[in-house]
Amino acid sequence: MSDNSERKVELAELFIPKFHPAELVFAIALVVLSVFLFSQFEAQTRVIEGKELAGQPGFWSWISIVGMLLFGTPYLVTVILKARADNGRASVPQELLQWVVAVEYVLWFMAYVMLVPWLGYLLSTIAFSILLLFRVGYSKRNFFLWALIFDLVMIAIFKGFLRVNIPGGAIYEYLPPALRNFMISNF
Amino acid sequence: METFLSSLDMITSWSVLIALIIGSIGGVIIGAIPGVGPPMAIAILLPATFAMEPIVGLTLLLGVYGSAMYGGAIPAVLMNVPGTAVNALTTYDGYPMTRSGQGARALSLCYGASFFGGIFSVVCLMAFAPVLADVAPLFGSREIFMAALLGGVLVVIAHRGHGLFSGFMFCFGMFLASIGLETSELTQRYTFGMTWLSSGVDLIVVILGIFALSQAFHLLTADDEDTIEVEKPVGVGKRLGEVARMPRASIISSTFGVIMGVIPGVGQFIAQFFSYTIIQKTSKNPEQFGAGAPEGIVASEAANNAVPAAAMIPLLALGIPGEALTAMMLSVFYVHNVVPGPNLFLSEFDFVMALYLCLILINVITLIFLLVSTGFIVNVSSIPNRYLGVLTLTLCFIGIYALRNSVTDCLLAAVFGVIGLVFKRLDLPTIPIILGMVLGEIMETKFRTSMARIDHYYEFINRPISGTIFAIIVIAILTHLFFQIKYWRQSRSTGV
Repeated sequence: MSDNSERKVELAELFIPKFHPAELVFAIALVVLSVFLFSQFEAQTRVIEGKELAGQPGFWSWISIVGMLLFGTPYLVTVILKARADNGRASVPQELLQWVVAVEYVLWFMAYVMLVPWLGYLLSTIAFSILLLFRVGYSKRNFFLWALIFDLVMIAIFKGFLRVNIPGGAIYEYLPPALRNFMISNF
Repeated sequence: METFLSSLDMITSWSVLIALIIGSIGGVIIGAIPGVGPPMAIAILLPATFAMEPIVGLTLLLGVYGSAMYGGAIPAVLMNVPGTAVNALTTYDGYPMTRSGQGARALSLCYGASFFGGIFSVVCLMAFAPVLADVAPLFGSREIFMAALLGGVLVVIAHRGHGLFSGFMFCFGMFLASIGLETSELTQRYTFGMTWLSSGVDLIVVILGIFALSQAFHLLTADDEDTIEVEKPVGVGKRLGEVARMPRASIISSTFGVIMGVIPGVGQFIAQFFSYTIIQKTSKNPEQFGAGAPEGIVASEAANNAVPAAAMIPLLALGIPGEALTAMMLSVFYVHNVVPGPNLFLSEFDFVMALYLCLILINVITLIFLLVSTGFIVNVSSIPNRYLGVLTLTLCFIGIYALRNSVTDCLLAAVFGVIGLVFKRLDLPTIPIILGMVLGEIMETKFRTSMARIDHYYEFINRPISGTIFAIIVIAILTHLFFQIKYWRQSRSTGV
């Protein structure tokens, strides 16, 4: 049983944001990005001689980046102050690790994306969801069965009914013509 | 009357009715699953709606938007876990009522208040629609530019405790929207020599990354919580009329929802906060709030359900979305070459009225569905996190890949997915970047159009409406700064 039943929600807790010291890493990255973009202004936009700034093609990029610097610098300062005041209860490396862990699922997703043009939407989706379920630790047959049903219903709705634009797989070329057309249209 | 009949004719087609039913029921189920939420569902559905008629696509998305908060109240009341983010306040009084054996009563109050808030806001909109139709054409390029700027300022101000971050992200969104080929001199901006960036960064790709993929990654990296056993509520429909005995809480909260919904960049949280605080302070039993006050539930649910209809006003009348979900809907308009704004009210007022009628039907369908299916929805709320993450990731693929069958889009969305995950983990707001992209593009277009017509910058604010909006911007910034300084002094003097 989780501890939800015992948790008392405070009103302030719902409206006042929480702070994690790992935000400092994020804030530094944002300011570095802003400075880099600002340094690239002349190289990445065309500057027309004799025209005022507001009429330059890159004016809107300039406004955006200056805004990023104007908000980003004091943001970094406030995060530094908050991090100093923090008692160090939360672990920064542990939080950063959680960000890195997500990259594994980016790779899973991109593998799925790369697989679809070869295996087709149906086979790729089933293979992807079954393997990923196994990876995240599910082993009971029911979980796989429900995932399979979910995949079939989802494909029937999006590809078969709503006709979303997903091409057939290269593997479909090996099917008999009638079945191939059916598979390209619906799966 | 002729307009009304024409709008009625629009929504009595099979495709609209099916979209209404699927959107409303789907929204309830999505809302009832903690960790999914309407932004993700709408982001995934978005590309699928591009092939539909505008009224059908928008009805489907509105259905999800308008009904998700109804569903989100179920786990909030029965399990102390909000189904959607805006149901968090409902846990405050809903769960204590469940613990004292009044779960069914609490859900009745949620459904009744949500229904009242939803219908109240649509009635307000319909009553004010003729006024809007008169005012909207007075908005030219300068006025729309000022209104979009006001939206940006309010996005920053409304994110209490995250003002600087929101300002940064709003500007970053503006920057993203400026990448690629600009149309005035046909030059490239910040493409770094990469041809795929010439067409710019697609808003839908960013939306799908920030709202959908990030949620999938968040679920996959989370732990599965133990299943919470809950008693299925019985007799929810019998107490539905109890809300009618709390007219003060219902009307005040719904009014806040309407007002805050209309103002770009503000939204449900502020509406809830104000309405809950006022209802508590003026209640005969303020000590009950937080311990199972029926009026507290009404304040929370009526306020948040009054927002969706009201949020459609700036979108339809000015073409300015006030929050992420209406920003997504804007892309449906653009895909079909329907330009929301003053002209929509002049030339296609029946379309606007049809959307309002759809909003009423969404509330009716949702309420009926909830009265017969709450027991079933309780089961849906218990799907484990990581299992949900796998299913969500397969759904995300359709949303992104169906756009252009582009691997680059998928990779870009995945990058924004990781950024969105960091936002979620650090409790940072996700909406400013999206509004920055949408409002930034509107502001640049209107700024350039206006510049061609004026001799001096002063002419941006020397017209009645643009001048008034400018004055509101100045007052909003000064008030915000005043309270920030006051808060800073207080915290220094108390040493907190």
